[in-house]
Amino acid sequence: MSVIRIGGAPALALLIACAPAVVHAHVTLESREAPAGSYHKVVLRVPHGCKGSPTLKVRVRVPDGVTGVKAQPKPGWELATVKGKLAKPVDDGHGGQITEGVNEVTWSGRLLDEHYDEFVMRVKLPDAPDAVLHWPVVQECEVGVHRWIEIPAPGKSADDYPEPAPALRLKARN
Amino acid sequence: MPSLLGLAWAPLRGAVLVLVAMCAACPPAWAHASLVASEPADGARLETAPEAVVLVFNEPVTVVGVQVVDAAGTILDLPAPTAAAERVTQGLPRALPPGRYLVAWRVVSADGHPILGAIAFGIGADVAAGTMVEARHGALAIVLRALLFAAALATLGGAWTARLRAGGDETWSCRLVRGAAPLAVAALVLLRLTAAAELSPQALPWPEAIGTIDTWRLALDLPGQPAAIMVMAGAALAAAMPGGALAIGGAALLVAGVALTGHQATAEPRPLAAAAAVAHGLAAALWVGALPGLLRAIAAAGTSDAAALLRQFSRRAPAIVAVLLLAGLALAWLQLRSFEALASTPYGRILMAKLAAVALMLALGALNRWRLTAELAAGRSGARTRLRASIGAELLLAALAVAATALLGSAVPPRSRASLEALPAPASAAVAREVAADGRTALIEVQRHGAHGQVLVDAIDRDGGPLGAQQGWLVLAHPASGVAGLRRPLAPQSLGSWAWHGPELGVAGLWHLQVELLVSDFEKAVFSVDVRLP
Repeated sequence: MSVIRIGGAPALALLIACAPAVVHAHVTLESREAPAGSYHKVVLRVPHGCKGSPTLKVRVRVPDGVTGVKAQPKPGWELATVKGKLAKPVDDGHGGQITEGVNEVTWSGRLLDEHYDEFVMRVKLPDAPDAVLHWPVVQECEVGVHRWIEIPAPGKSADDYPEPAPALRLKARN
Repeated sequence: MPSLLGLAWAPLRGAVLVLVAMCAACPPAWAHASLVASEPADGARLETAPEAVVLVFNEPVTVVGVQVVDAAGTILDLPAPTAAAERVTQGLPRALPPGRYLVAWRVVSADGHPILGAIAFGIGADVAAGTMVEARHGALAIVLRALLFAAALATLGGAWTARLRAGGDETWSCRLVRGAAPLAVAALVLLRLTAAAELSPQALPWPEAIGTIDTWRLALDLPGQPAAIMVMAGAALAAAMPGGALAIGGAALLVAGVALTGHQATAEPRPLAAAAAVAHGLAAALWVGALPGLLRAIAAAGTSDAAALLRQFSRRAPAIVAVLLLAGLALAWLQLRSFEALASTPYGRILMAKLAAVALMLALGALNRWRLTAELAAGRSGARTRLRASIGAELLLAALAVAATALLGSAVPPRSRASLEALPAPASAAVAREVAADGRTALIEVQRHGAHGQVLVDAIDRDGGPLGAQQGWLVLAHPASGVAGLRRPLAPQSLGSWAWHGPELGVAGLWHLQVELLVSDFEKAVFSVDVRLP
């Protein structure tokens, strides 16, 4: 049993301090920024299930312009990808064009609500400085589903939405 | 059968037109019970937190649920409300913090009609008033009620013609009883389920609501259980031995139960209203319910047998009609209370349409009794065809009368109208067209009828076709009363069309509406509009 024991009063204080954070925790990316046009490790953080129910599936939609998607297998999780035509062909940097690629990545397994896990893929980001890429995630649980797919309207921020899509801002390359 | 249709059509056409006109003139249905007062009053500004909310209705109600929503849209955790006759009391948490609150209530009136509404109050804050009463009565409920009436009439009529042995086709009548009795039970169960579904706090769309155990539990708890038990026991008895003498008793029990479930039986004085409703139902069943059996006998039996059956029926007909009209007159007087209401209220106008159909039926009945039956007995040529056409027309008129009766069940009787007159004027509408950043368009129409709000959404894709979606939600905010984040599921209507209705939009002023459509697993189309409701 890997239970960490803390004294009563400090534990309660900690619980009170953390409670709002736990309630509002979203599925997010570990790094919110990355250089445009770079190879980047996307780390998706899943902090909880659906109202206590364990997570059975994490599905990620790859944003337009992102290529070279290689998802990292996880022990205990089945990895699947959906390949298809890209919405817009992308320059491959060698004079040709990439027209097909991975549109969707799915990890299927089991993650208890009280546990935390990360889901990783390596991608090539588009060379579009200042663009914001949204990574819509569908978190399917034993009971219920979270759709982290809300994209802020102009003038709004992700904080204005209950289930915002994880976002990655592209920086100018140094 | 051109002759039958031709003969039947002339009187029918007029009745159909009148009935259609009546329906077109119907306002949104009002409930038979209404909220007359509350403590705190709707729109009140209080300086200290109240200990409870008391809702007072104009007649005794059964409370299904009371929800109190705070300004953030959070539904407060509350003890169960208590009801004593026409007063409903909802306890509140101690020392409710200052702010604006919306109290949404759901009750059932004595005649089983679901009614919903909401009031607003503020603690140390001003709120907009204006929500009151709302009755939802969909077309489905009207159709089910018509089906219930028709099945009940057919059960008793069939059981009776099966006993009028001379010339009657007994096995056919027995089959009619065996079919109609379970149909009546099914219609009643569905009727109670639709009422329960309307009252479900989750506001689920219809088919989904039927699938939840809560809806069934609520349907069991609705008022009118004794009448429902009468219907079921009567149906079982009638269907078990449709040719026996007990079947008539069972069928009569069924009809009485149906008569007691409606609004007619809950007028004051109750005993008189209930007795008149039962007598009216029984007489109607013996007259109208016997017509299919007579029609069948004329078509299938020998001339002398058919004439004998018709004579038996005709002998009893005057007494039946007398009871029907006397009881009907008593019921109409209890509901209307004035001759003027006959023309000036929708209820009165539907009743007039029904009376017109019944008058034509009486004329046909007289024709059958004094002319056509004698012709048939005398073996006059063509008598059989004429009689069949005449009874067929009578039956079609009876169907119209039944439909009108079902409509009456959804209109407010003038007796309970007085307290409703004071309500804000109904019907206001606003239409907003919103083109989202992604090029999709939504037409959002908001209608308000008194305290009842309805939102209709038509979503259009970039190519101009309807925008399909897996699910839809409506998020409501009323900044003036501080209400925000009321999230309600939209019910799909057809491809691209969605609807929602509920009491929340009863508050006047500026509303912020957000429509969210789940276009694919990963994509939500969002449309936001501001609508000002007068």
